[in-house]
Amino acid sequence: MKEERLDTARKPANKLRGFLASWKPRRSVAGFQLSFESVADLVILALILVFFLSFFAPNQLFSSTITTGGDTGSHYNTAVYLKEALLPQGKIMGWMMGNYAGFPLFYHYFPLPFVLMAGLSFILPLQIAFKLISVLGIFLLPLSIYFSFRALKYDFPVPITSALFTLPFLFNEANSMWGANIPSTLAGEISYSLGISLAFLFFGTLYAGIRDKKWIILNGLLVCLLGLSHGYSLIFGLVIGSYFLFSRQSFKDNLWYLVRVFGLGTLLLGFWFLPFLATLPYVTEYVTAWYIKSIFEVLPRVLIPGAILSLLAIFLNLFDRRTWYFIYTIALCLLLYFLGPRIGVLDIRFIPILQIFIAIFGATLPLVFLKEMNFKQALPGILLLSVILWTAVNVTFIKGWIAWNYSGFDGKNTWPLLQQISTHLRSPDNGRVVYEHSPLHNAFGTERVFESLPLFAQRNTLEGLYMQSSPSSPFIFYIQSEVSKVCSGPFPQYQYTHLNLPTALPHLLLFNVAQYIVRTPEAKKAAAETPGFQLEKTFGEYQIYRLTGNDGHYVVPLRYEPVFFRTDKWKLASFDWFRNYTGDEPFLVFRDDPRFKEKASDLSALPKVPLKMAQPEIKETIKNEEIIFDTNLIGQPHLIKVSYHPNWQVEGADKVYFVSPSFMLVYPQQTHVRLYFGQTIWNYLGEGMTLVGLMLVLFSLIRCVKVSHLLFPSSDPPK
Amino acid sequence: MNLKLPTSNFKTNIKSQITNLKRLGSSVLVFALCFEVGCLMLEVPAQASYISLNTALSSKVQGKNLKVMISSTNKGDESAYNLRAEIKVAGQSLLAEKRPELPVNTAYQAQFDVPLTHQVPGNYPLLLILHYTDANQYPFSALSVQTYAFGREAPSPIFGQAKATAFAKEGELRFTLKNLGESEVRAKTYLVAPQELSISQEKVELVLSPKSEGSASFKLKNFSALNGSTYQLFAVTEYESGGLHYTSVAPGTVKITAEESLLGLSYILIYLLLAALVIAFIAAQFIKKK
Repeated sequence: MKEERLDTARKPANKLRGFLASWKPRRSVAGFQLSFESVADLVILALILVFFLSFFAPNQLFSSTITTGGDTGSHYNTAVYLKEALLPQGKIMGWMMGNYAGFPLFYHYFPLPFVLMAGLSFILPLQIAFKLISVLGIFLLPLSIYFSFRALKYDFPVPITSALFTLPFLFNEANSMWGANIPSTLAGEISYSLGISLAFLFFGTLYAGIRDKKWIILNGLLVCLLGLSHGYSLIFGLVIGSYFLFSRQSFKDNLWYLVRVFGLGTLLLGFWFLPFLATLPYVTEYVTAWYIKSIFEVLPRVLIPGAILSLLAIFLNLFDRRTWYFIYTIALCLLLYFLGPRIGVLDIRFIPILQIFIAIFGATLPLVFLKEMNFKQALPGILLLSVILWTAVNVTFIKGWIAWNYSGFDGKNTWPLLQQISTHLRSPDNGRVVYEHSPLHNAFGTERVFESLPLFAQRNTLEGLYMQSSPSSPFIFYIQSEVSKVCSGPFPQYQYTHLNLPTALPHLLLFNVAQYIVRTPEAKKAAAETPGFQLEKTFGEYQIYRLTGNDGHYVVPLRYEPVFFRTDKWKLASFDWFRNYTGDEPFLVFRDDPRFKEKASDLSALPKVPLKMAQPEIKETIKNEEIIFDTNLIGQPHLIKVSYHPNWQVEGADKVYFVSPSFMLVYPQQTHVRLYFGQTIWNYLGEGMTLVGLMLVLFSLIRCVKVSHLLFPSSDPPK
Repeated sequence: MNLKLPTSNFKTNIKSQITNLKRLGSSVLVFALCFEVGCLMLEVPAQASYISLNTALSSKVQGKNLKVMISSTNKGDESAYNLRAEIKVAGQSLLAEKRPELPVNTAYQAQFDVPLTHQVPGNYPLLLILHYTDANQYPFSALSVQTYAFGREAPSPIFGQAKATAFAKEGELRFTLKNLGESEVRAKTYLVAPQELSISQEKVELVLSPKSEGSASFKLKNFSALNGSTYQLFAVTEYESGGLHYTSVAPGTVKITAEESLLGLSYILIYLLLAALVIAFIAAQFIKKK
């Protein structure tokens, strides 16, 4: 013993060995087993957080400004609406009147981040809660991947290395629209970032759950959260799950496990998922193939070291079963990317998933060497410094974007101008406000600034963020092209036109537009020269025109008998009808009802039968989810200039019909009519499913507590 | 036949060789990783898409008006957006019409007809600022400065030189003026910089004796300039003497470097720490385990 100690003191190599050995014993602190590995993991996770905070300055994140930048600026109003209008009614999903002539909020978008924002806003101002949740996906990704690799039972330092390797992906500046990296999240992909972070956690927990026959409740809850975060994270979850069906030995066990996990997830998700499926026909499809010019868009410089390491890791760890889990998932995501446009999904959403795999799998490279490796404790330190340096030197604009976004609308020098415009528009006017689409609006913080007119001016506008949610969006983007010098034209299946105010006028009146905000000299000139537009006010470079021919009514009687139009492509037919609408055409309905006597199948030969009626006297009240009117024209068709949705129900009339372009039509049976955005059978069924799912979770938790109570009874005798 | 079978000793040797190989492998691995990262760090900036505007600025005095013609061609590989020329001349600032998009290899043209109100003949500066954004709406500006003669050509006896500089957040641009003339000159110099950079002083006044030199500097701040980008600036010197107006323009450049520190630690320190860890790690691989 003495001999050994002397020897240790003499040889430097033995000294080092002794030092290393001193780290090995596990120490118990407050009941937790602490080892060098767990301390190193914690320290590095904390340093990753510090690295994030060196970009996301806390003073910006915790300032009460309204976040802006790309789509993010328009998300804020959604959070406000959820908190102030929907949650007080005990609802998450509802109707939003402010954009797209009204649209169902969260029926075709993902509520989780907004629910978290609203929840957090009970202890923090909503502006700050919004900021914190908007970066949640970014901050969560390293942590999710760390726990995922831990669940996959990778030895130290692989899990913490994988967490580190997310940094080059997150700070990748090669794109700002594909999702999950920081630029995309700053541009508004908040839900996708959160969904992908949760999906990578699910990647590990599902593997561990199936391997150890555990975590059914946890994985079921994760499936639900994936669905509520983003559709593509749910698809990714399904991709992950399908891997376990390729096992000859445990096919039945795995299938039964997956049925329980995805079954529970679907039950919990029911309240959202069932109405989502049921109202899909009223969604505007957005499917487009993304054009990628070069492989270096997918594999930018910042990801190259990770890609090389991942490639080496695949070859070196080919005999590790877990490697095939990765390979399978990567291959299936790649397949979905190529099949995307053919199966109706957006292909580009699968690329960030591939990029994350490319970035992180290299963390498994040291596996083959780990047993024989000396001083492996140094490896996380080496990798931490290398990754952080590498990431930092590759970042150029991210800090500037963060400052731009989180200094907010109110932090821009254009804020007083925006307030002036908003104050002017905040009048008792009922009609909607349309605006010229222009990149020049970016000076306010985002070129989508006027989508938030419902927030800033309490006025309804046409465009909005969730363009797929409303059947009115194709018509609104057509109007945008008519009233703007440059247009965005997002739906490839529809055509657009160019600045032409005379043809825009009947379309604007149809959409009950009362005012028009103009920015470019071309549009100003056109407005000044077109009868029906009158300059109302000028604010700096902005002019506001009034549409003199609009009376501001949302409810109007039809002049001609509506025509039942026979077609199986009603959306396109309605769009064609709208493009040629001059204000003197009969409206189209697409439901064969005995009430509609006029029928046609050719748009150029629509029967024009005038309706005989008294002088209309209609008084209307428009609320968030309610339209009330009193009319003297009982039995006559009344057009409601609000988007149709199956959840709209009526009192004082028998039915709500879909009428061109995308509005509602009712035949009052009494003078007082009330339309309200209610619940359908699908809502009730979905809520029932969620209730069953929650009861199952509760029952399982109670059973777990009981079992653990039986296994580990309290040592104190009952009194 | 005497067949020699492998013994347990032989197996141990093989195992030991594999162990050694694995240790060597991990050393090579770490070294290769650091080498790869290091090599990539030393590389030129990423091959991203870029906008490069080749701009021609010409002017002609016709009577009491200055005709300015601008032609700018996008020689990059991505479109420039919201392109708009702004000229600053004779105390006036004029904006041309905006072009929403300037695709690759297409030209943007603008013309101005500016009435001149100078009282003194001589040479005056004409400044062109081309404002544009990239696809992400990130704003940029490109500058050109030249002089025009009003009434009478007045070549400046002041020769100026601005030194190239590089900084991440704050720096300074030093310029030197040399008076080649025979009389003392009281010259006012101002800096023309892109909007991405902020200048602390408006003007610097220098008194230059005949055949003498004088230096001064402008403090600059990075407002929104991108790392790795080089910006052109101009130190414009104007003065009047003997009933003539003189202008001299000295171009200079500022390169915006990446911030060479992370969380308050300089990159050099981090590199040293990394090198020490790598050396210790590689050395540790040659120590036999018990």
